[in-house]
Amino acid sequence: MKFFKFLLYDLRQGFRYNRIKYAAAAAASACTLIWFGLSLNMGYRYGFIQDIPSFTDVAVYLLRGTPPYDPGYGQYILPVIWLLLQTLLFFITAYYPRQDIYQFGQQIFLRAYKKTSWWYSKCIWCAASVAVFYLMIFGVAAVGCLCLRGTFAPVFSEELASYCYGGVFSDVTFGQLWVLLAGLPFAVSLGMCLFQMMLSFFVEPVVSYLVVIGIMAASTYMTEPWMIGNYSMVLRSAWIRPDGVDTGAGFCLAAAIGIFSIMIGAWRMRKYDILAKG
Amino acid sequence: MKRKSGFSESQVSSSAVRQSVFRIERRRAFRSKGFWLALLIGCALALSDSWVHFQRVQLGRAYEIQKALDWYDPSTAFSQWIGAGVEWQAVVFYLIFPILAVLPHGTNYYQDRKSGYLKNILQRTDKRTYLRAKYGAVFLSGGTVVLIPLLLNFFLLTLYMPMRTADPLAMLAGPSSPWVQLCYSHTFLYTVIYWVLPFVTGGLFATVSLIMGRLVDFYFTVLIAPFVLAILLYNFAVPLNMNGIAPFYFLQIGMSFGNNPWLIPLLMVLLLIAGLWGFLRKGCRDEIF
Repeated sequence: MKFFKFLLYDLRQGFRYNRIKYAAAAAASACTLIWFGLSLNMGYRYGFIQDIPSFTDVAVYLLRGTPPYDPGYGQYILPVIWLLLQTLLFFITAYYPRQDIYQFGQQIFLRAYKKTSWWYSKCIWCAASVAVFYLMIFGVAAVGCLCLRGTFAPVFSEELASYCYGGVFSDVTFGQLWVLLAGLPFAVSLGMCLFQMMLSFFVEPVVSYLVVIGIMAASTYMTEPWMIGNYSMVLRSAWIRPDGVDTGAGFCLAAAIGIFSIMIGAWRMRKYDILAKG
Repeated sequence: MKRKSGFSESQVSSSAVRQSVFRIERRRAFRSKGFWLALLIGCALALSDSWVHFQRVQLGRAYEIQKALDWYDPSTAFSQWIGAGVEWQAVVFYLIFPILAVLPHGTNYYQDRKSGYLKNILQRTDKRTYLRAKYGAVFLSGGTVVLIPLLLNFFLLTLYMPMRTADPLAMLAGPSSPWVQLCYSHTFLYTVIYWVLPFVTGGLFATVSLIMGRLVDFYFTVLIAPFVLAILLYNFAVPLNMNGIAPFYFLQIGMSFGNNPWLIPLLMVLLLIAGLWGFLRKGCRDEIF
C-alpha cells in the first residue's frame, strides 16, 4: 500500500515539477515541424512529390535521426531534431529524483518500510515520464499532421521519405516502422533515463546528464552495436538499410542497461546517507 | 583631498574595491570544484583524441603505406587536432562545451542569490561592481575551461605529428569556409583563430546562465540553459543554411563548410548585448532585500 502511495505522490509531484519543461519540449518539437512543412511546400510547388503526408510520416520526421556516418567518407551531419528531443527528455528526468531525496524524500523515508520502495517508485515515475514524453511527441505529430492537411490512415509514403530525408523505406512494413518509431526509442530512452537516474546518486546530476548526452552524441558518430543511441534513430535500423543496427539487439541492450541500473540503484539506495548533504 | 596621482581618496578606494571584488570572484571561479570537473572532462576528451592519433602513428600504418604506395600523406597536427573535428571526441566536446563553460562559475550568481551571500556582499560594495566582477569571472572561467583542452590536444599532437603548413590535399578547410585564405598560407594563425573563437564563445555562453540565474528558480535549468540554447540554434541553423549561428559548426574547422563569416560576430554581439542588458543592466534593478 505504501509503495502505491509513493508512486502516486511521485507521479503527481514529478509531473507538476516538470510541466513547464514538457510544454517547452512540445513547443520545440512543434517548431521543428515548420521545416517539414516548408520542405513539403517546396516539393509540391516544383512537382517533386505528390503524396500527402500521413501521421506516420510526420512522426518519422521527428524521430528519424541521420543515416549511419562513415568517417572515411562525407561530412558529418548532426541529427539536430533527434538530439533536441533526447536532450529535452534527459533534461526532464535528470533532476527531480535527486532533488526529491533532499526535500520531501527525507519525510517519506521516515514513513517507509524500505528505502528501496522510494527507488522503485522513482523508476516507475521515470518510465511514466518517458511514456508521456513520447505520447507528447506523437501528439505534436498529430497536430502537425492536421496542420499539414495530412491523413491518419495507417500508411507511410516512400516518396516523402526519399524526398525529405533521403530514407529508403521500400523493404519495411507499417508494423515494423511503428516498432522503430514507438517501441525501440521508448526502450532506449527508458534504459538511458534509468541509467542517468542511477548515476545521479553516485555523481552530481549534471555529470550524469553529461555522460548520457555524451553517449548519445558519440552514437551519432559511431554506428556500432554497443552505442545505444543508434537504436533510437529510425534511419539507422537494419530494417531500413543493410548497414544499420539490429532491432532485437537494441531491445536487449536497452533492457540490460535498464535492469542493471535498477539493481545498482536499489543497492545504492540501501546504503545512501540522505542526511549527509542537503 | 587630492592625491599625487590626481585621483581623490574615494576614487582610489572605489577602484581598489572593484579590483578586490573582481579578484575574489576570479578566485572563486578558478578554484571551484566545477572548474576542475569541467577541466577534467574536457581534458579527458582531448587526451582520448590525442591517443587515437598517437596509436595510428605508432602503428606506423600511415608511413608504411606511404612508402609502399609511394604516396604522400598530407595530414599534419593542424589537420588532425580536435578542432579539425575528425573523431567522435570532437563531436562530444563541441556538443557539450556550453555545459563545460557553465560548470566553473555560471550558476554562482543563482547560488549567491539563494544562499544570501549576495546580501552580504552588497553591504560591502555596490551592485554594479559586484555584477561586473561576476560577469568577468564567469566569462573568463567559461572561456578558459573550453580553451585548455584544445591547447592540450594540439600541443600533444605536435609531439608526434608534423606542423607544416596545411596542404590543400588535407582538406582542412573548403572553399566556402570562413577565412579560408589564411588556412593554406598562415595555418598557425588560422588555428589560433579556432582557439580564440571557442574561448569567446565559451565565455559568452557561460554568461547566458547568469541571465537565467536572475529569471529562473531552478538550479538545473540555470545550468543547462546555455546547452539547450546551443541545441536550439542548431535546429534553426541547419534548415536555414546558417551554420554561422551554430557553435558546433563554426567552432570546428572541419565542419565550417558554407559558413557566412559575418554570422559568427553577429551571434557574439547578440550574446554580449543579451548579457550586458539582461544581467548587468536588469540585474542592477533587481530587488535583493
